[in-house]
Amino acid sequence: MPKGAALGEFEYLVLLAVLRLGEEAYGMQVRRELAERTGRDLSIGAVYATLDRLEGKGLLKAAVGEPAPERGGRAKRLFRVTVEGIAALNRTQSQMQRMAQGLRFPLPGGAV
Amino acid sequence: MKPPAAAALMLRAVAPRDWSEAMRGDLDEEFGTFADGGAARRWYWSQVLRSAAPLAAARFRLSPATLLAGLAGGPLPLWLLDRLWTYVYSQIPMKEGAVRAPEMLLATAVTVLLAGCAAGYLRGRDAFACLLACAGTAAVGLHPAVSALGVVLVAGSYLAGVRLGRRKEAA
Repeated sequence: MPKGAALGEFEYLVLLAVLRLGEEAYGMQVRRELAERTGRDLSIGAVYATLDRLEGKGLLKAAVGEPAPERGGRAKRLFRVTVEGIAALNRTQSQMQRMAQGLRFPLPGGAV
Repeated sequence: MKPPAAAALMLRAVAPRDWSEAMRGDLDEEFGTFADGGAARRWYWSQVLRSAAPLAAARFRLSPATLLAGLAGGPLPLWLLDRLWTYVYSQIPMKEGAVRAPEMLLATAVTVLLAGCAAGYLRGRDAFACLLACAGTAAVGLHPAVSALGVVLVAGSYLAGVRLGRRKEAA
């Protein structure tokens, strides 16, 4: 696997959030999705930095949306997962499943 | 109800130029959903302060030249000259503080002016290099008056450099 092809934990979550959001995947919406599903209160800067890194790896593609008055007339930066991004998600999920194979969750001995 | 201007300015200075407007739009959108103005402002400040580190890291990753411009325009020449003159003047009895070497102060001031001007001229509207230069200059730890003067000189020369750059583009 080439260097940079592996996804970090947070990158994986952000890619999944973008995939789930479809056409409406932009920074603040990704942040809301992650907060709702993982309970993590993230800074918008951390989300944008990760989105940019994923775009740099070719796993996301960015486009400029329409300006809106509730955004002070500023446009959204919309993201969508590329073919390479889908492949990375499939690869990461497969790796995690192989590592967890034979283990029963929730694992005993730790709090959920 | 408007977002705090100082926080918005700080975000604009730190965030990479390509995302800065979209990020501000996102924050404004969320800011507008708060019923309580005080809570909204606290949330906005919290987001900007917590975002500073990841945005600065992204900034360096996207443009290492910004870091170099900031270092070259501020603390590095000041520190090098201070080290040089400290050694030179260690050979003779020294006075205290900024009185010790007025020529060093002048040489440092000229260097900082030239470097700050060059950073502004080359980097255009990118205020991040200036921010780094000012922070670094203030942190060098010389006499407080020297550090304060250094910050003022860096900021002033940087803005002069930006203006020169714009005048050249217009010509």
